Amino acid sequence: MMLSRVADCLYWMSRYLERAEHTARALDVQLNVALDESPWASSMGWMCLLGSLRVDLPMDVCSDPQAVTDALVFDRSNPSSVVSCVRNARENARQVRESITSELWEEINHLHLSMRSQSIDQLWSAGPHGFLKSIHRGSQMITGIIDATFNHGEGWQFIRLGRYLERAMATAWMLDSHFGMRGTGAAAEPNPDEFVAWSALLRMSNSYEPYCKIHTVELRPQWILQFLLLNPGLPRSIRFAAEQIQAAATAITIATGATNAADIRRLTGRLAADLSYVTINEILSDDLSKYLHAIVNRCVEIHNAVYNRFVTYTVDAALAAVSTQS
Amino acid sequence: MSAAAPHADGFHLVDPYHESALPDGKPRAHYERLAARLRELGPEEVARRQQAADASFLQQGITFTVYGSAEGTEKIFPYDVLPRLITSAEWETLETGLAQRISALNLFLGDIYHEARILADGVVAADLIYSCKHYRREMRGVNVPHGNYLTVVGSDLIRQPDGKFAVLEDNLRVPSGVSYMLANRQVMKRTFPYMFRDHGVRSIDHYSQDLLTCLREIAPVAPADASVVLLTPGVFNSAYFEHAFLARQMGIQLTEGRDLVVHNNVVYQRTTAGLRRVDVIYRRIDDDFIDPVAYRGDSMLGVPGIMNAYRAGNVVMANALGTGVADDKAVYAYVPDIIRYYLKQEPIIDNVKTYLLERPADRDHVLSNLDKLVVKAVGESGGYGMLIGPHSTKAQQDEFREKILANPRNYIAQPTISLSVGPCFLNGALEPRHIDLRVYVLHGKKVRITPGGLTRVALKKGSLVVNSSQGGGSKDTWVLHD
Amino acid sequence: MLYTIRHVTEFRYSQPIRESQMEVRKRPRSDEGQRCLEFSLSVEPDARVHSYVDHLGNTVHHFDVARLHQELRMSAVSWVERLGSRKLPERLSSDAWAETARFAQDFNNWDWLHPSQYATPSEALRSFVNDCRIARRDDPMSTLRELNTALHGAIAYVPKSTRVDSPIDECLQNRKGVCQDFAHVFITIARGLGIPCRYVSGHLFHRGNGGSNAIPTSASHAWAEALLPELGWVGFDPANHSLAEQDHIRIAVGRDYADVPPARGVFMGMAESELTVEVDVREVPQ
Repeated sequence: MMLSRVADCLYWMSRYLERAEHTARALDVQLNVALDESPWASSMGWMCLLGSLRVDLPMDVCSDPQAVTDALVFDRSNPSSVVSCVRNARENARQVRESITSELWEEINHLHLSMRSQSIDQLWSAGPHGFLKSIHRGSQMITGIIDATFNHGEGWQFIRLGRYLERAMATAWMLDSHFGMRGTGAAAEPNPDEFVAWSALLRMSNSYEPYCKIHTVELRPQWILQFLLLNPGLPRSIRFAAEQIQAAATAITIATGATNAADIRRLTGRLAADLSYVTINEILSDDLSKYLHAIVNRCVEIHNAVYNRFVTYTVDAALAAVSTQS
Repeated sequence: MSAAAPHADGFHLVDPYHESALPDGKPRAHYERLAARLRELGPEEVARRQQAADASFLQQGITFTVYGSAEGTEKIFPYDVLPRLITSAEWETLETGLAQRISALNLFLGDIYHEARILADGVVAADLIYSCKHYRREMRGVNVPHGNYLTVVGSDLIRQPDGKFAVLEDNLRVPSGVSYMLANRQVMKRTFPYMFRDHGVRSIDHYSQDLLTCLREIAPVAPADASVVLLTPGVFNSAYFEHAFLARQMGIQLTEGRDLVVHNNVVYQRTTAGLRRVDVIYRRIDDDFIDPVAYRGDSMLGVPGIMNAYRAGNVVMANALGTGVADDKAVYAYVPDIIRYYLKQEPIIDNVKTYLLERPADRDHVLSNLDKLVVKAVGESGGYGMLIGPHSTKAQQDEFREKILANPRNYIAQPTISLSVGPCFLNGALEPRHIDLRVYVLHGKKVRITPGGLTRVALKKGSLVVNSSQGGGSKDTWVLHD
Repeated sequence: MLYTIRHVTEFRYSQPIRESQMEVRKRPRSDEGQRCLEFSLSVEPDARVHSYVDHLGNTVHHFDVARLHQELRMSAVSWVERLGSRKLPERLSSDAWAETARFAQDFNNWDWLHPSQYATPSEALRSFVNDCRIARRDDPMSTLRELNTALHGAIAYVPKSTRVDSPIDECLQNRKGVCQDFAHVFITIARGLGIPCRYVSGHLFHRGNGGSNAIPTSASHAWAEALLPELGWVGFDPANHSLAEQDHIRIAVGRDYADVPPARGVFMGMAESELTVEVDVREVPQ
């Protein structure tokens, strides 16, 4: 049996960790590709990145990589900056210290402390890649510890749910931003700038090499879209995430004996089924942006349904539910 | 084994009792085996084992937070690697004496929260009870299941220079340290496994089981069906580690105030599987903070409405509310009378001589002897608010004189007791340090006392302060089978 | 005398709140001089109401409202009988002080003789006592009658001039206060003079406009009670410069306001609360 508060903390710890990792990796990739791009392409790349992270910055900041890095990594007033995400993840972990292994706590604490000792100036002069990579690595280590040492019970399911909801939404936004800027057409070979931009998209999802294994180094937008949206075996695809979300939500309803969770089953089932049956042509023939927005909305609905049922339910609703069952 | 008595800053205390050695320097009978083994191992080997023990503690994450220290962070609880030994004959006296004490205190609490016969008969001054800030008028007339006010008690004992044990203090509210006792034992079994086996030490592993049994026994429902939780103030509390440890050991839910809710006078836990009724709460939150409706309105730690659910008998709390009046240091002085009054028996274990500063004769004596006595504020714990006469400056004594004159009821004094001395392995050698003993007494349908307890050590040379919050340490305590 | 009382307490919240826990003291006591014949309490939104009797004999009702709500309304209706009123003497005999001293020996009176949260002596109180030349007179009754008059003269009754949790120093400094302040000051001084004294919260029937048409008021009332030889508990109402005998209906007694708040509770939610109280006391013609 698990306290609602503990589920809440584990879930958000997981979401913040995923967000930190994604932001750090995306930023790292963009800093790297900017070196290969023409100035015009580079500035488009920065806008694309900021769009995908849903961050609004003033124009003069947008064109300055150091300022953007500062904003995305160190800005404490931004709740989605890397430092904020890591701090929040740690705070959530701390509140439920007794529910997590000491190994996990040590790793999260270590990541948090390593962030505190850095500043943008130090980072910029040393070159940000090493630091961003260490965040990425640290986050992967934490995920590994969680998966290897946690009992795969209810707590672990909430962690899994948080991770994949966050991932699904972040990937959808990223696809929306990139394809929104560049379109889905172009059957022909991409030019150098386009090549760099498409490979950046794949690297930001940690999926460049897996893509090449299937499609070789031919970067076609439609294949990339299909890969990142619908590929069943790719851990970073939205379809994969949807299936994990469904599995986690189902496991939670079973573990809690929730007999009345039809709305959760319906929402998660629909999302997973939709992504497994739809074809890329169907999507391309319609409005891609609208489709991706719809995915995000479904994820939000799933979050709300799970929270209403397991975490933030009202006392009288809970007792009424019991009495109607008996 | 070396038996030098520590002298504190030149002030000559009465020679303390030496736990391990006779006056002629030879080891006491029950310490012979230990002395021999240490000689066999030699200091280097013992030092090596101590390092292994350090690592073991670290692994288990046995930590605590010291308020007011510069880091305010977690530290490994200091300990000494040599065990403190108690013979079974000595233990039997302690056991019966403490069982007697807790029975009497329980009856006392029941009485002062109902007819107050002991006050009517003038044995204890009503003034002392009613002026005590821990006396909870809300508890008057409230019937506690099985009359069980005290479920978990920690009594602090010292051994006086004549070799007899005396009770220094009873802790009846939220006594802590049990987790260190259990952790010490774990580590010791690994550090000196043969020595442990050869000594024949009584086991303490069943503490958590005993605690859970007691908690179930006081439930308002059948013990087997009772839903028990541990209520903690949360991660910021210095004893949080212990709360989490005990909850895990007992297999019960660790909850904070916000995880519980009162509806229709019943207490529930907010779980992902819905609301689950709670029958017994092992509470590690002080009375003042337990319910913002009944007590401190600004407390975010408690459960609104829990007092009324408690009053109605729908939930049981261990310990009961209002037990603090019986561990008030001024009430402590009356415990021998309390034992006589309710049990018609003489106390098996003595109190330490105590002066009540609201009594003019006592007050005069104390004020003229501040440099020789220990003065304590009645409501404080953890070694705070204390003046240790022989170790104090004139300025500190004057400060205390003012405080006493301003509020005499708030202070008691005791002679500076030479706590007994036990051998410790410090800096690679055997050194004597002052120790005391906290025994954990559990009380459900019957009294269950864990053989041993936490021997606390004043690690600083010459110091008499053993409290963990002020840098004391601990030792494993071995009660021998024979 | 038979009275009927309608006592409505309403809370309005700036935002919807939930998980409200409330305790109220509205049921008139049945004890010396008074009997509560009938009492009913209704709550909106609907809730199951529980009650207990505290160690002072006061009846406390309590309930919780878990679901979202923005208003909480508690309406109590009671029928109270005052069992005749006695004629109280101007003074007592000369051995009344000795008898009062014996009250102090009874530990059951401890709470009525010692300072409590709101009834604590202070510098301001000491100078006030000096200014008004309050001291022990020939007997406790005349002493208290004099105290009653002195307070009524020295302090102006000004509604809302202090808060419910104001310490007495505020009232003593500004020389104005509400009935709670009068009661607290009276109690503190009386205890200082060695007379057991306690706080009473209740209702006052304003026998003003000739007959049984009461003037509805917007608050309950507070006064003091002292334990006097031969007479038992006698009520003093310094705010109204009277003895609390006839038209004073007692709800709860305690050491001071802290013991007997008429309504106290907590809730979950970020909201401000606004309290309105309506009291309607009527005499019932027999």
